[in-house]
Amino acid sequence: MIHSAIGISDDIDPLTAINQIITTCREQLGRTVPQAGLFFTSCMEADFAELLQRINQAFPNLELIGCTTDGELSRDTGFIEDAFALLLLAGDGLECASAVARDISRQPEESFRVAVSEARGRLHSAPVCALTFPDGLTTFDFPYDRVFRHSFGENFPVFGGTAGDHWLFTGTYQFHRDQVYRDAAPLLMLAGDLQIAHAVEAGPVPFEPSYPVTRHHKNVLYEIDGKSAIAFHQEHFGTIDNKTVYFPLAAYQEESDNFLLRDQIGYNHDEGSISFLGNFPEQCRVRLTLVSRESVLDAAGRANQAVLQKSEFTPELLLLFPCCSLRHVLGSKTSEKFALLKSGKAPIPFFGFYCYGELAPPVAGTSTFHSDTYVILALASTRR
Amino acid sequence: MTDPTQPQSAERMRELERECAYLRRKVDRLKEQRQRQEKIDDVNRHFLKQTNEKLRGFHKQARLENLAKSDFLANMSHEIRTPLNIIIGMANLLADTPLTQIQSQYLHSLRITGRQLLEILNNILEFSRIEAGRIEIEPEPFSLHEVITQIETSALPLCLQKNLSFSVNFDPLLVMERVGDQVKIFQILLNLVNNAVKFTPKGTVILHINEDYRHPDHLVLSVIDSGVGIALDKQKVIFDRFTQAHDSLAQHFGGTGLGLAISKKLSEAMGGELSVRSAPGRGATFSCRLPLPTAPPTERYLLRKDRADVEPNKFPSLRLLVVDDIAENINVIRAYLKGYPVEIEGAENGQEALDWLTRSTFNIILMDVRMPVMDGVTATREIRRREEKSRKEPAQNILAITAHAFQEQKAHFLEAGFNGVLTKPFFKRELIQALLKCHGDKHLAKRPLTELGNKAFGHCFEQELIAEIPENLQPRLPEILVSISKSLRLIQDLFNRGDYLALSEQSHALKGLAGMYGFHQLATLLSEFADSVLTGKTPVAVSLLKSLECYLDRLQQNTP
Repeated sequence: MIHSAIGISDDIDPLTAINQIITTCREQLGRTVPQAGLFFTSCMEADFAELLQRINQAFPNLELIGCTTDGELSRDTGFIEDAFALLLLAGDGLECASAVARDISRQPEESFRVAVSEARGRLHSAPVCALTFPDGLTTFDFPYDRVFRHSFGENFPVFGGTAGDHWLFTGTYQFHRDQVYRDAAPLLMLAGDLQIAHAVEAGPVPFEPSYPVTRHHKNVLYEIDGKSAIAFHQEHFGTIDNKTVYFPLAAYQEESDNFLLRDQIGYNHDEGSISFLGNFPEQCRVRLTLVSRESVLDAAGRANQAVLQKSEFTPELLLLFPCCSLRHVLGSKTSEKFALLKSGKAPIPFFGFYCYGELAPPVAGTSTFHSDTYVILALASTRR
Repeated sequence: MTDPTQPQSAERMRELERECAYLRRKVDRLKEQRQRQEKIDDVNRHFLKQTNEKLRGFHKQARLENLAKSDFLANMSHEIRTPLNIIIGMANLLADTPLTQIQSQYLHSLRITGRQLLEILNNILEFSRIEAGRIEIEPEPFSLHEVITQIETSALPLCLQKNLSFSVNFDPLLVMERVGDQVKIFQILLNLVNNAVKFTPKGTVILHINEDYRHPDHLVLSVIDSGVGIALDKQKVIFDRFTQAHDSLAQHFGGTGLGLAISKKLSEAMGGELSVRSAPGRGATFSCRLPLPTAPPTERYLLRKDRADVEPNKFPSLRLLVVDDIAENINVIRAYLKGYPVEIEGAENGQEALDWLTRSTFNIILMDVRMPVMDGVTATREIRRREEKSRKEPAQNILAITAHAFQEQKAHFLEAGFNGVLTKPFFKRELIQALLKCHGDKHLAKRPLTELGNKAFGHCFEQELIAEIPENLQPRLPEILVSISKSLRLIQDLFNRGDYLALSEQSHALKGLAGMYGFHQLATLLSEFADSVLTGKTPVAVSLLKSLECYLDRLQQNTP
């Protein structure tokens, strides 16, 4: 069985908040010794090192990873921001090992290879999955597919999301044990008696015809349908400004009905190009998308239903990694998307954060980078 | 000495400051969210506007394409109707010649299938008009007798072929002169009757007409058959276009599956409804409920007169010029008018017609529209131009003969100077009526009032030409109108009191007065009213009394 404890506080004083969280977690754990922890915060003005130190003092030898975010979430609070959130894990037959990949934007493959190797070396059984929270602002064109394939192996499931900075776009932080990093990716590998299930659903809905991407490089589109990307954007949105950041393009690989969503993050008027969060597939086509509260709630509902009702096991813990744009679209309705998770008779704890980009296998296969999606991961022990 | 409450106050202050900071942060987050929502709303509004513009574009394009389709169908209509007119007309003529039994059978089939083809063509054309949203309802006074005759003419041959009995039932007291779109009503009933015949292997088909007592001025026109019937689930779909309840039977009997869809649309366009009651094996009753108010008394009189004047011995002597490039068309008209006191000359095109007019005169010209050398519209415009130049009176009567079925094209012909339009293919009765109407209207309008004597009073009053009453008669008009008004009020009173004997005497006296001074509509109304009262046809009498009251109102408006 997986034992979990969750503490969340949005107290205005970070030290008061962390003390409340530690007390709450201790009460929930009783005599259980936690093996791993996830720590998230969207409060960007705290002394993170001090907070990590307090957690490590309270729970020594914890495999702790975490990051700054665009908001936290849990069963008790729903969506919450400017908060500190800690999840502690323990399980019979569960193995956990953490590591951190550093300088990921400069040496993507090497940094991950070293970190994965280090974590894997401390496990006695084969890893079931990994969680990672890379810097969300230094990795716009990060080659996640290739890095994950080379570091973790083909079809190894990696979940998580990229770190945010509460929509300030000045810098994100990643946490490992009692250390604070930038341009890093802490990771936690889980092994042993563990089973998982997951779902990924997109909030925005593609509409209109598809247009061929006639020139692009990684995450930068230069030409769409023979026009400069800026001209295309102007034609369809009637404006070139950050208003359209919530309306991603849906990118389709040739001959495929599956798509990845990509949010625009910058315009180069001299080149007529637009930069996006995440790379585009080769020889792809793009479509515009419609964004509404209904479609976002539908997406979350579908993903929750898929995991709760179609999994071959009863989840003991749910980890959620929704895109921050979904909460921006939902506004006051943000917590409605967890309605199904709260409706069950047996309360399943859930925990997560709003990220700048989501990491998960599309359905199966190697994990990849998503935007504007809702990722849910169900965990349960195989020993019940 | 220190104040023991001071530390507590300081602590409370710090607590309040923390709470204020917490709330300020929450307010800031709400503001941020509102700004984000405004950005999203802006883009969504832009998308909505853009989508609306596209929709308007698509709508415009669809409308243009629909118009092109209608034009195409209009041309098709002409191309198909012209030869079809000749085929049916010739077949009708052939039927009047001596034939062997086997030839008669062949000809019978030829005529029936010709008519079926015409109906299919009409249905396709009509539905394309309905689809294009171009249903134009033209309510006019008409006689239900006329519609019944047309339906009988169409349905009887089909029923005889299947050995079905066909009958028409209606209350003898029902006022048959109504105001409605006769053509559309005929179309609905023809579709319903054809449908009934198609799905009735043996038994009867009945056209039943009765008043809808729940809704004043509404009639229920029902077609009842003893056929195969329709299951409840199929009853919901039979009014959809291109749908038939019995697929296997439909394949056997053919048809476009448009008849009921058209009938329903037409019924609704006229403010009515079409419904069905049926069960498998127990026949079907299709009921068309339509608002059809009774025609005004004047129109009722004229409609009855129209029906009576079709016999050759009551037909006026006319000299006609028939202009058509296809000789068979002229022959069909000659055959239709055989036995009537009509002299017919033929011309192949508009130019020949103009040549004829330089050396002869005609009461009416029947002018085809599409002809080589000079078409009918050009020829008519030229005739009108010459009339204007020479100030010739009266103007030449010209009827257009055309296969163009659409109303807007008819309007175009009238604008070009035609007096009326006769649509191909037409039947003998339609030709006779058109000639009578065209000749009669002019004839009536041009009678010199001085020849009427005392009858000029009533004639001018009923034609709403009071100002044209000869000057020497004008001073007597008020006295006559007052006298008639008094008598009418007395008749009203007698009817309400149930003194029918006195009513009969008073009606007779007033009828005499009306006849003496030329109030023909009033005389006819009084005669019918008195008959209805004495024969106990109370609903008819009540209806006629309303007409008399309207007449009285008109009198009072014109009495000083």
